[in-house]
Amino acid sequence: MKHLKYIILFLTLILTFSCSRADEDLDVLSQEDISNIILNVTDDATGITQTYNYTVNSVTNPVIKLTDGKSYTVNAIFLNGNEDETESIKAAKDEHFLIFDFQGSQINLTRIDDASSTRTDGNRVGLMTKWNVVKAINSTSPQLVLTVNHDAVSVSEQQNGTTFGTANGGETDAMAIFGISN
Amino acid sequence: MKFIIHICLVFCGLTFFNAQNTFNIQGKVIDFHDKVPLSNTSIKIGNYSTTSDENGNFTFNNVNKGTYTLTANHPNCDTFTEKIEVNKDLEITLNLEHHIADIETVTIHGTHKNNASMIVKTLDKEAIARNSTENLGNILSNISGVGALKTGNNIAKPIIHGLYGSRVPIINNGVKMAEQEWGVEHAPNVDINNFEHIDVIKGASSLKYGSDAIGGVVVMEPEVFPKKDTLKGSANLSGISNGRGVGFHLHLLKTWENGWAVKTNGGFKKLGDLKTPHYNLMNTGLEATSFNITVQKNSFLRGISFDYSVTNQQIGIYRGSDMGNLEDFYKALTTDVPIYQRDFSYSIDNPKQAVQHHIAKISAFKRFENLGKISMDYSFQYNHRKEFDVRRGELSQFPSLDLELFTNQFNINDLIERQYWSLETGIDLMYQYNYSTPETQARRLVPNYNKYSGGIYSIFKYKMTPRLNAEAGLRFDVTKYEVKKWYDLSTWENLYAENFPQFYVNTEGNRVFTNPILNYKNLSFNAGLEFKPSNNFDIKFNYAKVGRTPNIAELFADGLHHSAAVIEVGNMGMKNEDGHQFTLNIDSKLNVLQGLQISVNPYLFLTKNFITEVPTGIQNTIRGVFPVWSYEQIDAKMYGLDFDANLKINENFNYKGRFSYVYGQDLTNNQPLILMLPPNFSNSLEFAKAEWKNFYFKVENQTFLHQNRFPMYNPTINIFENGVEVEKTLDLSTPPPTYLLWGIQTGIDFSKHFSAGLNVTNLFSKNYKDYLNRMRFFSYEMGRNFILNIKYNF
Repeated sequence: MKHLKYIILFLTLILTFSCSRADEDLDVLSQEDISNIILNVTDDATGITQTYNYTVNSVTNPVIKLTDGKSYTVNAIFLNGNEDETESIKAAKDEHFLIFDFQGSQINLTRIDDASSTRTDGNRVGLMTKWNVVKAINSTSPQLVLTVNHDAVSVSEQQNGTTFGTANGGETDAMAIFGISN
Repeated sequence: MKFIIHICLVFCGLTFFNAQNTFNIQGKVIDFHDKVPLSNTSIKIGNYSTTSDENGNFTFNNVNKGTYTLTANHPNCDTFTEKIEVNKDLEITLNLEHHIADIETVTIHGTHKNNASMIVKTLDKEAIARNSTENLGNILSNISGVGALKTGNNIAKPIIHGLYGSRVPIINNGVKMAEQEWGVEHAPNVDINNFEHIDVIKGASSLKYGSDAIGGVVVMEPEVFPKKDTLKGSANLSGISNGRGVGFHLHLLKTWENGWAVKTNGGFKKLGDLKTPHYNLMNTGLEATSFNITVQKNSFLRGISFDYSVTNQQIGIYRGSDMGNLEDFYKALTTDVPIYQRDFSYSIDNPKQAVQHHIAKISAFKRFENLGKISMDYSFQYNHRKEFDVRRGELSQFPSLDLELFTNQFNINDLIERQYWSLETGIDLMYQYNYSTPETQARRLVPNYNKYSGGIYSIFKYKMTPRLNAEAGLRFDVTKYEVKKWYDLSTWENLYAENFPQFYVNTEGNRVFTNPILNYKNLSFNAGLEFKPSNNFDIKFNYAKVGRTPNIAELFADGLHHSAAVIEVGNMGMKNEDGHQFTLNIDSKLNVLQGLQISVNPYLFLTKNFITEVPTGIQNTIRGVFPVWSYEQIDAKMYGLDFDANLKINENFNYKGRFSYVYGQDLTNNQPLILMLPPNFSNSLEFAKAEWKNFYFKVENQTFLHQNRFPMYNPTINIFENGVEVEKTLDLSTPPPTYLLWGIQTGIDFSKHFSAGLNVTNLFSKNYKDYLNRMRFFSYEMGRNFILNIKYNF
């Protein structure tokens, strides 16, 4: 057929099209994952700051040392490998909310975020908080479960049992567990 | 002297006659493609005429020497004309092109005339027209034994006898669709309005479509074009109440008597948020467009066809299904009223899927006198799938999954048909390239790869006696994967470093780059018998030995599945699945009322190395602890029964019933298989009166029983309740309870050109959950839906 050579040309063009891409060997890792949650706990009386670093998949959880009756200022920092994710959380502050659950520990929490981490709905994200410790060890294994909630329908700073802050909907972006002791 | 003159005259007379002015012509008329003798053919040579006998033989005696036009006429055949020179006795054979009033389309498919031992159920043109706004998965669930595996109502995959995905290929106008079909929430990219009928071949009897067609095959066929000068088409407009949607479809066909034809279709569908009986499902809208064009020139002897089609879908995924971790899942399970609500909207936000699929095809065929019908197909498919999750800040505009799949397929097929047997042989070649762009800034779920495969098959059918047909088929496939895969260092060292050191390339930090090259070989065969003891009875039996090569997800899946809150892991060491299928089908026509047709189809399927996902552990991530589901190979046993009944009660009333039961067991772990279709049955009664402008009214009831055979895979979490740590179990395994659904269909032809139809589903707005809908954890199914459509035919 005289059309045959056109068909073969067409086929050759098709077959040589996109048989590989230049960056097909490159690795891709998730850019928004959080690998470390760090709490900088400053004793209001002495001004001394202790750092507690929670890493996913570490064997033991860091243990926060608190003294009954004292108050502390706490800053939360988020890392992804070596990169600081805290800024990206602040940039998307309306999508984020931290929930502090002091399990087996009597501590009162207030959020003291400034405008950079206060949401448009008036709730504060919780990157900066004040902890008033009543009784650090109130059970056999006291711990803090810190949850980062993303894109909730609505949030509230209200206390709910042992939890400070509630979120309606959204998904958990990160969850860290810190032990508490004296 | 007088005597000598008389002798001379006699001699002269004899020589005169012996100069032969008339001749005899003997001949036979046979069918061109299967060589069957054609009786009752009227043959004319000039003014002489005769008719062929029951053996196709004919004779012309004493035909005068000369040149004539010979014509042969047989009902259902084109007139055969040929110039013939009569100057000696002749013996001729006439090959007539039989039974072609229409032109066959240039596709490879098991023709309806010759299904032999395959179990084929068809959704005809009328069924498609009555449900024109439906997607493929949902419309096929009207066939016994076929269900829809859903992720919300807009994503539905056909599941035949408990098998889906790679095990149920979809053939779109002769092209086997390559669209990341391994994914549970990857819907087929088709617009059903482009097809004249859809065949579902149940079971593994059809080796022509590949050795992975273990569950069956869905074959979608466009119409057959008439060989005359016409322009026809239709326009179809639908309104959909649930989702406040609209659907539109335009079909145009221009054919010419010389065999040229141009066909084009265009479709559009838009839906907003769907509604359960009590609330709106936030972000469940859909926008879909489709277009195709075919240009072909066909005759009985040869044909060539160019086809192009494209579909584009944007599908919203219910907002409440995007889970962060198991605690989030627990909260979703324990609230009956959804957390996510919004006023009705057409807006499709994250999470959503955006999929584009293109198919371009060239096919040609030629019939040869002795070699049969040889067809060749080349097709190119491009599938671009993007899945968007709820992501932080600016990243939400980038998809978390972005896959481009390029597939080239070439097939050459030879079909030789004779009176008592047929032999179909062919070769399939495929080259596929998958690219997952790093621009997603999210971990690849499946890696970049090249896949090469080739298969050769041969199917022989034999009419042993007028009542007994036999069939045997054989197929051999080879497949090669060439993959570029990054593993976590710990995963590589724990699972693969020892067995596959040859694939290691290099290490970067705690990531390992590998280049696996996997080869698979597969031999499948089938044997079947069809016995027709009388015109009212038909028994088919088929045995198939099947093998399936693992797909890319089963080998290399690696990532968090958000809507399932599960981490999925593939296994590079997978082997071919290896199984045996037995199918029996009994069709009978009984003299009850005005005719009762019954079809009973039991089947049994035993597989070694059946690939399935099971929970194998947990993984601690920054979001919390997740169950890990790994692909594993087990021994499986599946069996079941499909039953169909069709009773013509009288002139106007028709009853249809169907029932199906599927049993699946994981023999290795001694527990039921997951996601087996629950036993279900349907009854419908239709009133139709052709005299009332083809008015019809149908009521249907569908009942789905609670599936009480399921594996228990319930994860546990620890939460604090009243200051005490308690363990909670998430029941993700128990299927929902039994439910009944009612529906109505009615329609009328206003005039020769206009027809209208109304379809009401879930008539009583029943609040129910479907076991095969993966969204059942987060919401109920759709409530009542009114679909009105108006069609204009010209």
